[in-house]
Amino acid sequence: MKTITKRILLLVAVACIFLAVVALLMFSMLTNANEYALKSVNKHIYDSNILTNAGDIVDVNGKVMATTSDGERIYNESSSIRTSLLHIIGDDKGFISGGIQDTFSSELSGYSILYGINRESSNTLNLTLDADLCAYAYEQLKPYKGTIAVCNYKTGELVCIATSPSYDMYNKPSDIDTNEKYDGVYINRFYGGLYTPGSVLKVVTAMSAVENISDIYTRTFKCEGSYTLSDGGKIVCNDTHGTISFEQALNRSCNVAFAMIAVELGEEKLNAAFSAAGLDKSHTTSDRIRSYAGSFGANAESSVTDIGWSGVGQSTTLVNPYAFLTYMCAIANGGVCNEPYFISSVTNADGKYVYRTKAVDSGINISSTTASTLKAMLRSTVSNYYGDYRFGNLTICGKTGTAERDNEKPHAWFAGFSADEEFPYAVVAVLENSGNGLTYAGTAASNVLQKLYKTVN
Amino acid sequence: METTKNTKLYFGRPGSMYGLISLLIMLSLTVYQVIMSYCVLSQDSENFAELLIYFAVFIIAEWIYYFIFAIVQNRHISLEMIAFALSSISLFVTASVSPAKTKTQFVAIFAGLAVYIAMVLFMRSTTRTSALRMPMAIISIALLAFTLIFASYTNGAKNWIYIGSLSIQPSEFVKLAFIYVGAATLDKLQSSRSLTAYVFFSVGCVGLLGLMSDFGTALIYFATFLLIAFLRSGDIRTIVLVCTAAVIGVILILTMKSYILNRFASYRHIWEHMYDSGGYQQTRTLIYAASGGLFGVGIGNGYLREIFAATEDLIFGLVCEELGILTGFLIVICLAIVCLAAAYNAKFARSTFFTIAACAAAGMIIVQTALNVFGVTDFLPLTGVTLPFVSRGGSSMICSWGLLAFIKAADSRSYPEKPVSRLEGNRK
Repeated sequence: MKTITKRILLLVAVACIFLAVVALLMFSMLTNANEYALKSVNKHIYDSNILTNAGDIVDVNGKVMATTSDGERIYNESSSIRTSLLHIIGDDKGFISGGIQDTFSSELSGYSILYGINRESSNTLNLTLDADLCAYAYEQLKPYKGTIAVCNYKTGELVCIATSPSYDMYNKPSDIDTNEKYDGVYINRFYGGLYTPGSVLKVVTAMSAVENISDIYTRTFKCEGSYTLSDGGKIVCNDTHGTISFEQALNRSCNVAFAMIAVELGEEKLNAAFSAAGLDKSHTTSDRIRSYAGSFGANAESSVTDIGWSGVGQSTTLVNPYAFLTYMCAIANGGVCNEPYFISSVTNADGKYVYRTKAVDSGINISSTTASTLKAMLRSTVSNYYGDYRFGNLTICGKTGTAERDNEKPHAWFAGFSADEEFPYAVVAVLENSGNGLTYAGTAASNVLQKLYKTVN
Repeated sequence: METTKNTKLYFGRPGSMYGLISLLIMLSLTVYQVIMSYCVLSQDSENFAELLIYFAVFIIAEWIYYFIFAIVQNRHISLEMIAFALSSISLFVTASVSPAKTKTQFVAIFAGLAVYIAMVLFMRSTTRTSALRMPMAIISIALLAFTLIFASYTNGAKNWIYIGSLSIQPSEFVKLAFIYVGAATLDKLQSSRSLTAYVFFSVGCVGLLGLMSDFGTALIYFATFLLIAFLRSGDIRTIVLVCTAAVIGVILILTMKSYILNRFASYRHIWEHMYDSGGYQQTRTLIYAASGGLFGVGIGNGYLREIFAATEDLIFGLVCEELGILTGFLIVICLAIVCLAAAYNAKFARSTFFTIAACAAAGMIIVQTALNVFGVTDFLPLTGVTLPFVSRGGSSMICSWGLLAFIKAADSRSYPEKPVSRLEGNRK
């Protein structure tokens, strides 16, 4: 009997192993619950893959972007608002990834591991975006592909994002997969676009020069319309600028002067500046979106010509619009800024916060002296060269870019901000294959900023 | 072995600490069951009267049992309270998901309870109990053979017999006989003839189940066989040899049965098989269990109930979804407690027969629970076995109560009026 008593311990061991695995199962279920519950086959929140149980999404003025009624997802009645915010809100059929209805489905459906699926969901997600301004910005992009976004550089709140092409999910075009005007229609170009920056990148080269070449302000550069580099490569300029100063070189966007500066700085310092501007990294925003990482066109193996062209934003240099807007915010805000975001909070039926955005630092840290120097130079670029009249007499600092493309029209860029402390907004505009930066992107950005100015005043 | 002391420590009347706790548990269980009854009834006006009767009778029966055994006979009834709690969940879930089948489930619970009481009473005498082993063995083999010949395939396994509208799963009843035959008194343990006979019996049972393609049940039998073999011989080396033989056997089965192979192919890859039979049930179980959260979406509000075998194989997920993940895990922990209680009881058993029987029964419960719960959550391959006491199904319910009887019979306190262990003289 004694021996058999000892053998009973086997049963105890089996029970203990069982309980240990049960604990492991519980841990696994609880940690993965969110992912499991939000699968699109879950009939609590989806009906044939269509989201049916989700709270309201409202813009900064309380306009309802999306709501649920009788198990059906209903979107804003305006076609232009639906179209311009498609990539932000997302659809309910899973074509658009990274939309709010995807990334915040947990908060929207009211799911929590504690209470499970909230079957009478009444959570409300609040945007910082102004839907009317987004719709207006989308109009400014037409007929080109591209993106425009406006951000409060003091807080990081995005008030406008438009990305083209888009479509109205209530009237989805039948030729969407075949017509080339819808190429990349499911992509949010603000976060997912990578473009040759053209001359807007001169801001980065200038930043490196300001920090590394002590006598840069007293230097002069001679532009004869083109410049042959030591390896025989040739930099072509947009004009014959004659003898000009550093500031004038930026004002007039002189390729020759900036190629000289770039070659003098070398790829290492240029890459460091590109990195300090936050352009080489993928930004993870509080909106749970990851922007695409850009890349500088020159590295240790590059020829002098490549360095020269990279320094003026050509060659293989690629920049993401979100990252560049963040960089503009940092310059405008004294060298540092928050990561831009467009979701401010999620509240439940009682008005209590289910989720509240905590501003995240962008990681960009430019010295305040450099920032104010760049700010002054960008200001003079607008006031001396583009003309304040183009911006409805707003005090704008900015830089255009006309990114040359092989065998197609250039991408037009404008990046800048308002120097007015009462109107602290930064803007980025990219119009693909449109033409001159100032004519296309500059005008679009100006229109959006002026419209915003009228709204806030 | 201090039987007398233990008898004094535990009794059912609320005059003692244990008795008071028992009463409190009974009261809270009743409150829970009344709330559950209300929730189910409020959603089903059609079958209101019928379901109300089942629920009321169930709760009254619980209290009668409590009165007879805890108050009159002054015994502790913790094991039965767990069984009542789990059975009532099966009753509520069945009533909510398929009201038409509630009657069968209701009858099954009472049949189980009757089997339980009868078995506990019968096993009072060790001599009487062990005398019945041989007839049991013969009947079992015959029953399984009969099933193999006359049953038709249901969901890939040939283990159901239909008598009119009644469907019976003989392999569930044979589980009880399997333990009964496997347990032996100490004098029998010494005889190699007895062991050889048992090995042949086990091979016969598992072999027949294998032929029926009831892979899950065969696995439970095999695990129980290992436990019994160890308890009888205490020899790890033998067990290792047996395991090796079994693994070879399993490999042979796997190479032959594409159906089982399919189950194993999707193991740990269920999300890639979300839309085919390989992972459909498991993914839905996880999705809806998670949807319930800790406290559930409420009975009647779930979607897992629409999936095949929701109240049988997937009952764990259904309970998690509708009654909450906490309730789901509480059930599993209750079954583990039953197992630990068996180990405790076995220590004080009157004879090795009861020690082995209790441990084997507990082992069978735990293995079956593990195969069920870990199977639907992809911790183990899905084998399609029931969750003891909670899954819908008559044969399974009766078997669960029968297994509990072995555990109860090992507890000398179940027979308090005479300290049998000393009288029957099995302490050698």
